[in-house]
Amino acid sequence: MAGRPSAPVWSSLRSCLSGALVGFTVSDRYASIITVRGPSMIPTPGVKPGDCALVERLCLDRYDFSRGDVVVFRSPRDHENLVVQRLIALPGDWIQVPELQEIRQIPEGHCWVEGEHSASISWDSRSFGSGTGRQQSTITEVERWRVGDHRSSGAGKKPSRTQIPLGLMYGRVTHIVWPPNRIGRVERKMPEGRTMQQWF
Amino acid sequence: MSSFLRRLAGIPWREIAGEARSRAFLFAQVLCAVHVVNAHVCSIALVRGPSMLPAMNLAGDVVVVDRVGARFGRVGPGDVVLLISPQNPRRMVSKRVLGMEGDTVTYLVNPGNSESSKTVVVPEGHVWVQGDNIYDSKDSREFGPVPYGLITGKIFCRVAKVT
Repeated sequence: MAGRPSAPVWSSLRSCLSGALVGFTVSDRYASIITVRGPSMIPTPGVKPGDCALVERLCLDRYDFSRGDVVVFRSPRDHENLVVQRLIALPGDWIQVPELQEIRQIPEGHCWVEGEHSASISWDSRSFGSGTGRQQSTITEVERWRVGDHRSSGAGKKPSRTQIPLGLMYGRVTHIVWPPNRIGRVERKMPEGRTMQQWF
Repeated sequence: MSSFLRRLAGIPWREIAGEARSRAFLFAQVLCAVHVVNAHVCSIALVRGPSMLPAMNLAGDVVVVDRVGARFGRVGPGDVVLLISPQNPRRMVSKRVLGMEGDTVTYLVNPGNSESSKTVVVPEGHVWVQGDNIYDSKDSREFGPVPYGLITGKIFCRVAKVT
């Protein structure tokens, strides 16, 4: 008998445990709240560092995202960090990449995200084994991965654009819930003239 | 008619409703516990296909997947992992990790037909995955190094074989 927790302690422990279980499940499957920090979380226009955003996770069921959504995903360079950016193109779309001066098609299972940030390595990747069927020259694979410019913090905003697999998606930002003067819906917005959808 | 109504009034509706509510809540808690364990602690999966022969069966293996190790970055070369396919996010595939970030990986480009090989350095935050059966496996030789965030678990034992 000695050492057994008393009834109120036990019942409050049990309710904490059940609350935690329900909370984890709701946060994994339905909706979750994240705090946007910068620069590790890269803000987009409409979402600033310090905001608390409501992230909807029902879209992960069928991966039905729309162009222009603000999405949260695990960073391809660091799986423990979440990144907030805007989704610009879906698989099959053609997108114009200004820095490389090329037009590229998004391969299946991937998407194109863009955001603004003030300090980071802008990382650009070519999809491996791109299905163009062209004979590749003898460049090694190492050269295919190019790292963009690195700017020190405070040097101004530099857009970050990358192609990521859809499997990295964490959710879609629907509303800002804090601070009170910024409570409201986060709208879908598309930059003009950058993408062309696949019609066939 | 009135005896029927009297009998209806005699049924303890409040107690029944209270008990139904608490049973439903308990059921919901059990479902949540199952989800949390399945998604964050460990899980059972059915893996099939030719890409991991001979380690895994063609017809299928029931395996136990450890989610905690993968979540805290304790995946290393030689581990068999379950990951979300970079070509289709609704599919999970199982492959073996051959290289972590910074490692240099050499692989055969076309194993059945030629001896040529390529060498690649795995970029930051990525892993190189390959199926054990290199003749019939879609892996990093085709879609490149995959971000670590796509790995959902580490397969550590098999519990049953599907014949």
